[in-house]
Amino acid sequence: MKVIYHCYGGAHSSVTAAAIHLGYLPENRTPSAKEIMQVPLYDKHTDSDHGKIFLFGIDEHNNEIYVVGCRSLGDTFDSILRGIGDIAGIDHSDTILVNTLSAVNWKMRIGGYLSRRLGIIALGRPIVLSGTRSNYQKFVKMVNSVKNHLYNKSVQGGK
Amino acid sequence: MNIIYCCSDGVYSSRIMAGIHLRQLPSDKIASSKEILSLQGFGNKKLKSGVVQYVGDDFYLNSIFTLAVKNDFKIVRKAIQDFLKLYSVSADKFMLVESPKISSPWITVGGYLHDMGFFSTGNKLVVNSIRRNYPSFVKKVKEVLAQLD
Repeated sequence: MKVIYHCYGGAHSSVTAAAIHLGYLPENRTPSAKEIMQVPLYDKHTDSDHGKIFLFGIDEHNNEIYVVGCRSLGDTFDSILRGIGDIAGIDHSDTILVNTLSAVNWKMRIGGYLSRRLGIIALGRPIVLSGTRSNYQKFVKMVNSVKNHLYNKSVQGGK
Repeated sequence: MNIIYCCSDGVYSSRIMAGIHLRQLPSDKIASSKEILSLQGFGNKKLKSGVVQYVGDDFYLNSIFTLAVKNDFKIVRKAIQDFLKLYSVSADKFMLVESPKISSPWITVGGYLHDMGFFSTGNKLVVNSIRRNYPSFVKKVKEVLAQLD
């Protein structure tokens, strides 16, 4: 299976979710700002990376985990990729697209904008980190829901 | 080849270019308002955003589509290329064409009025704006056709 976590810039919420999925960040507690900053790609992507689908890692069940920033396309992004997949004759039923914006709070928006868009990293990064930590359990819940979905799919596939 | 004409809402500029490509609209003169308004799907905001809408096949059996990409054409193009790569499908099967930038704000205003239920006024503004900019649509489609030769 392929899981594509997507958000506005591909730098914070999608990266956080993918990192939890892959075990780079813990599920049972809120990580420190330092731990979050150690996650590859966190607060790294710039405008020129938007639209590029990055392989973030492979989970314990061999699922490929990707992240991408798709600006304000949101759920439209899902529809576009599935439409193109249909035309290309791709069986994309093994792909799950997860819009992580629902777990984003105002601190992440403002901090992300300051850091990634305006380049004011010293000001934006602490704000976005604080926002990520505030909503951390939402990300954990989201990832668990994705993992449950993957598990159910694999059980159905095994029948 | 799959040719996908893109614009922000997928129902105006992209539909016009698809219409010119498929010879539903003229390329040697400016289309009349009636011709534009009679295009199937033109201004149909019920079409879900993000749906790759099939319009028809051209003379060379290329499939022609329209797509709403908001203001993120470049993002969508990159993502599609990468998505196809995940499945080892060549992106050469697809040509994404961006709508020419139209300086007139009336197409946007007309679209909003249409959304608010002022269909007649909205359509009139959009169509007038399209007719004023019609040569730029024809030019773009001709560039596409030249690439296909």
